[in-house]
Amino acid sequence: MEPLLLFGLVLLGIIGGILGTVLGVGGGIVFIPVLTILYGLTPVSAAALSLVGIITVSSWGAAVYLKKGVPNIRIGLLLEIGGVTGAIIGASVAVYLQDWVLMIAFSIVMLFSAYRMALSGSRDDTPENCEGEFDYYDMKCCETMRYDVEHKAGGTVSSVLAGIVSSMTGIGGGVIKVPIMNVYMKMPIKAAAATSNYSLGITAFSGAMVYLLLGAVPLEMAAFLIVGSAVGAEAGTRISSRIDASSIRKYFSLLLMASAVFMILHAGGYV
Amino acid sequence: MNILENIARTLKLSVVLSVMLVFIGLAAGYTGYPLGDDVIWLAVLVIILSPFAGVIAATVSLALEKDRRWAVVGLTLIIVSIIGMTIAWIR
Repeated sequence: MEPLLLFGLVLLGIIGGILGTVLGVGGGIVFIPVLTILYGLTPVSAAALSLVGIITVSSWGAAVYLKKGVPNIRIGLLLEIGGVTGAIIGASVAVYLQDWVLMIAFSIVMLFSAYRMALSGSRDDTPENCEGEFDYYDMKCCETMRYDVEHKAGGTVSSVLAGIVSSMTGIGGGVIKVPIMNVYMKMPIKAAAATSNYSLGITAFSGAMVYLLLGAVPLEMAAFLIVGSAVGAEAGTRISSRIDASSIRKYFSLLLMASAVFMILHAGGYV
Repeated sequence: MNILENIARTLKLSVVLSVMLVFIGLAAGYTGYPLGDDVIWLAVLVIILSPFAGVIAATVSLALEKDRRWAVVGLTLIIVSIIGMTIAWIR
């Protein structure tokens, strides 16, 4: 591959790493459109490469956020029993699907991500009670918040869907996991988003492992994407505490919608 | 050291190790050393396995804290992941 294109992957990793860490979405929504539209990769190769980038961003970002004590590791592990099962199913099925089917699936998940992103940040559900099985330290209120989690078994089963979507599309299951934890399992949004950021990597790991063993990961491209993603994730964790992510989310959601529409047209052979 | 710090250290160490292997693999590849691709494959494998290493660190930490219920959850996740990897390997 041309050296310029390889260094473009480092740049893509940096941008995906920064946005993935700041927005808590792992970076797949940046990687997938660029890898399929600009680099012309097949949907399976793009998903495989994107999962490698997501794992890098999630691992580095989670390492920083874990020290702040917000992610709920126990609930994360429980939900991932479903997530990993779904990811293995998704990656195994994806290699047999036609490209246009996966392109349409990418586009639908991207449109849903954009919709969730445009709506996010408008709800404050900080727990008010002092009782609960779990807790996290709220940096804004400067106190420990306690909360309970409902529907643990139902949440684990629902996570199978997040795993299937994540490994089939390479976009990450955060857009499904956060609503499952926040709306269905009644976790506070801050704990749900941080737990999702941590568990993105676990879901992506099983899908990526299937792709690696099937020989679907373009290794040279992955090498450059890993370096860029690690740099971007480090930069993202440094700037995320200094900026207001809500306005970035809204503008980025518009870009995401435009990319999704372009991918639908691309899948139909119109562009 | 608490459970969160254990996981954080494991994840960071895995990413650093993978990036180092990437640089070694690329340098080997561009200087004509035959094992360059193998080292890059290893780097990709290390980064992919980093969340799994985090799960192992979490499960061990939970077991050491005698939090039996959640240690079993972690162990179940490890078993499901290993079954998944085995199926992929066989295929």
